[in-house]
Amino acid sequence: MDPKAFDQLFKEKVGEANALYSEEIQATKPYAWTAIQAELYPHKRERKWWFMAAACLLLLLSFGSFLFWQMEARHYQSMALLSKQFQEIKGEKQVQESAASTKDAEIEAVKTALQQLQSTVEAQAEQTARVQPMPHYIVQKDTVVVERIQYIEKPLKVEELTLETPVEQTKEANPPKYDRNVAIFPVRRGLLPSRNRDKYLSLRLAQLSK
Amino acid sequence: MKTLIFSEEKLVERCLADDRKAQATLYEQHYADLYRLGMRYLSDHQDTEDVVIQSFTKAFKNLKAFQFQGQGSLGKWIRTILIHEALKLLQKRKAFAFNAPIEEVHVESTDLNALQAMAAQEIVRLIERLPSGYRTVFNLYSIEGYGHKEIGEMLGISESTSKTQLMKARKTLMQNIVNTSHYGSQSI
Repeated sequence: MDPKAFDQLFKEKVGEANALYSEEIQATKPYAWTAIQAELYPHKRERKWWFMAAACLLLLLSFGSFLFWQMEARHYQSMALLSKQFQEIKGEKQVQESAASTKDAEIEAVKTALQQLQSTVEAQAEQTARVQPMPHYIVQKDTVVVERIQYIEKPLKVEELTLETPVEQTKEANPPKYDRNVAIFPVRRGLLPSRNRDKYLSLRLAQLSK
Repeated sequence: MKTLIFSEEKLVERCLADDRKAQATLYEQHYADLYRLGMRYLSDHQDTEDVVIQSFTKAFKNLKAFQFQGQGSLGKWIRTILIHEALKLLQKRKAFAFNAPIEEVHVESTDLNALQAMAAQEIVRLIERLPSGYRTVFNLYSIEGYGHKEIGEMLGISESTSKTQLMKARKTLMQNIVNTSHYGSQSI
């Protein structure tokens, strides 16, 4: 047999065997493809790590943002609450202010009424004063007692005068009888000291008796 | 798995651009052929699967080196890669016993009609049942069309060893064909 013809026939027969191992081929095809892809892209696992890291970072950022947002929200909530309370206080203040202004008006009205009443009373008092004297009290201060000696020349009597007697002698022999008088201004008996009073009274009596 | 309909050249361009769909299309187009080819060299499903995976991986990684030479050239290129991978595996496992004494095969006369009457699957199974050395040389020479010099370089053997292996492979196949035709296809 010609080896070339033999080989050719074999080649043709091999080419015709298309249905051979079809079951095995179908069974192994997906696995082989997965294996090829794993061989071609071995860094896929590394990528997974990177993706995981990126995902973690993203998660962390999201969590941080959420926390920040929540803090902001809380802040705004508290601000809103404060604003609300402030508004309430403001409202209360306005109410109190209006009440106070009402009271002020009332006080003013009372004052006006009081003034009117006072003027009326004054007018009435004036009218009454014209008709009836008002009790008038005068306060007197303590009297100062000033004591001075006043020499008053006493006119001599005619019979007492002698010609022989010089004037000088006469004056020496008969010195003018001067009354020692006391001028008291003004005098209130009650206020004099007892010693002065006695003295005053005795002098006065003497004066009067003369 | 979705496949795209492109010309081979376009498909290669898309694969070079890391287009997964194009890669899947190329895989779909050639997986079955490569699997059968691998089975003819290795005669083991697990080994074939491994070699097919390695071949596709190598093909995708070295696709830049591929030079388009008309329709079908990509398939030939990938087949070459698979053959080299299969041979590498066989050499690694020291499956070849080229220095072993060749058994004397008694071949009865056989005609081409008996061979033609056989189903393609039977023929392929006959090839797969050959010893690894015979099978490899027969596949390379008779089916793939390599010369003895190339086969010698590929397998690290001399041309004469390649020729001897081929001759013995043919004789064994003939004997097997005769046996099959005598005892029916059930014996395969």
